[in-house]
Amino acid sequence: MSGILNEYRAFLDRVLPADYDERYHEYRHDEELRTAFQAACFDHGWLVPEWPPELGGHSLPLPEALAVRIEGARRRVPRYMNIQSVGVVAPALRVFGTPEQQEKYLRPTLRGEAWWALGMSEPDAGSDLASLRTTAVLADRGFVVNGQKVWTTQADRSRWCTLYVRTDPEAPKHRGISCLIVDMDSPGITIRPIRTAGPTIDDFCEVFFDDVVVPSESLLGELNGGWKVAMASLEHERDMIWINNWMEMRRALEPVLRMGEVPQHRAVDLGRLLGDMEAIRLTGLRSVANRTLSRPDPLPGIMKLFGSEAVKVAAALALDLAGNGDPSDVRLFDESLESMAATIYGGTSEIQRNIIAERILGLPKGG
Amino acid sequence: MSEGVTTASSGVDGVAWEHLIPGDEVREFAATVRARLTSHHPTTALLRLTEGAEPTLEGWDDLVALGILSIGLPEELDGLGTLADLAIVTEEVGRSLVPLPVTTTAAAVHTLIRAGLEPDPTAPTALAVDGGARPLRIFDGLFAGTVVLVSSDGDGTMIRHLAVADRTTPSSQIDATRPTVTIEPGDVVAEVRVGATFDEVLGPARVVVAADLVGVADLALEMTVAHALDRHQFGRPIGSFQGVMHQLADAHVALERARSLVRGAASALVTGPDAHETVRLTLLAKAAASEVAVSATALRTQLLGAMGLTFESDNHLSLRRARATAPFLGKAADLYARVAALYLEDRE
Repeated sequence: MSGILNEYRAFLDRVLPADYDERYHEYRHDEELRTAFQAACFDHGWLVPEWPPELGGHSLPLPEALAVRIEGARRRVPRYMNIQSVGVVAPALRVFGTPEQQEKYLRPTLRGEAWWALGMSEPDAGSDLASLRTTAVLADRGFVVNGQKVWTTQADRSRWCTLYVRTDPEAPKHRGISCLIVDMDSPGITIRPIRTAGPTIDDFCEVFFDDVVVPSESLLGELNGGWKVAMASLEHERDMIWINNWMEMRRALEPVLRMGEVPQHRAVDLGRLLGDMEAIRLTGLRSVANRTLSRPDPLPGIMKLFGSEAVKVAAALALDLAGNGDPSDVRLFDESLESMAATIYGGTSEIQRNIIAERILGLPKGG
Repeated sequence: MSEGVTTASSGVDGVAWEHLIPGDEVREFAATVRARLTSHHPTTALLRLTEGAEPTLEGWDDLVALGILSIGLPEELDGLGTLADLAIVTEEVGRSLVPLPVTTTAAAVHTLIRAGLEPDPTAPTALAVDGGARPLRIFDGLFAGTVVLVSSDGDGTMIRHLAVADRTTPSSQIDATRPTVTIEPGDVVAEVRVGATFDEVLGPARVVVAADLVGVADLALEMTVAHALDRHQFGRPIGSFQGVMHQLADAHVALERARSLVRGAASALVTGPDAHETVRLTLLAKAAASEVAVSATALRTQLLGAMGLTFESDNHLSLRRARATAPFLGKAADLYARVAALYLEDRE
């Protein structure tokens, strides 16, 4: 284990700038560095360590792959520019993609050369994703798509999109959805960026589809099997979610810890958040232990709610305590704003609580 | 459980899998403990104690024979397994609300071991923090033949193992199954000053008590979910209302949070008892477990409605257990504040 970690550490020392730690807050937003880092990770097998070398990995067993990711989090490595391409799209392509699709898309996707949008939310289908209404009708020339997506992260900079569309309007709502791979340069697509409340919120867009023709071989997974693709591709994220939240906790609390002391009446709040931080890591490890030993693993169900809520409280405490009431607080405010996105995207905290109650505790479907 | 095993055979980030989730042997043992404790100490017996029935040590020898108190002891004391195994089994002790000083004796025994003193794991033993106040109030000390007193002593810590010469038991108790008594200390069995800090010495004891409290919360949540499925209002189970569902979901997260900290702390005590982060994890484990025991039993009380406030309901037994045990070896807020101070010291 330590052999592979040392190899990874040496790689990081080689590719990260010498002053990376000192100037972390600048490098965090350095698009050039982040892009180059992802490509280097792919080329040297550190991008998805459990995958084979041709897909940017080292073919590592899960625990070792995880140790690499945890080390990356400790070193606060640069974030990939278009995180969903590595975390959501590539795993879906591996599971559901045809050999031709894998050949065409995987390499540029993983290397960060081509970005992806996740075409999921619609104006009337947010938390209730399965009620989506964008349609695709199969005609001679392929699928003809009409409808609208919204809150589509980075759609304006994406090359492709995994677009969830209704292909069977008669079927029960979960069973009439398909996933199409759509070229974002196709005629009939209009993308309107939405101005975000602050610079730390990843750009999102409205996307309109007006008789957009998508070749029939662009179907990802089975026809009307889109719900399965959506659920399975989010599964892969489970370890990324807790490792990322653990790293975000460390980052959020850093300005507070750097103060050296906090008012006595806030020390309990700080201690509780440090407890959250450790518990995020340990719960993640328990989950991995369950999977490694082939035990049932209900823990991923709580990780998103637990981690994202904790980060939000931590960022708010940092703004409360480390803020001086002067313009230098802007960064703390922006980070607090950023933390507010994570309890909304990828399933709101309210939906997460429903899921925990229904699937883990066995309570009836709510109303 | 194999004897004296401390291997970290496989795992990640310094934590062994078998510390985080119980192996087959430990799971089987925990199931045996659960069955034994539930059948020997039914709710009716616990309610009689609350009404003033004379507590007895009945069942103690059984539990000693079963080996609960041997878990995590060193080999020369015929120990089995690790402190991580003890944490998992102690959850069962907590769940059962057993009216015997198992958890507190384990806490005292592991404090003696931490201090390098020899325990008698077959004899009820109490543990207390000695802040200098007299008379000495001892939690769960009704049957203790001896008491382990821990006090800060400059940079180090003083551990004194004393006989109990005399004891007074106030008739009014929050938790009659773990009464707080006043004692007159007798002969010194052993005493030692160690260089380890007060929090380092109390680490194993805090993890044991925390595991007990996780068990209390686990039982409360399980019973509350069962009630939410069973109880119908407006023509549907109350557990189908989001106002109820979301509270139970949050309670579940809090429970797993505490359980992860307890197991992580126990693992740290096995693999690196003197490591920098170990003491923090033990403080956090106890803080989180104290909090969730109190909050989960309070949530159960709310969701049971008026029924939860009756004597016949076993609910108040859990509530009493949580409230009486939670402050033992440090209240949640104080422990959290202590952890904050330790992290802040690092950055100065």
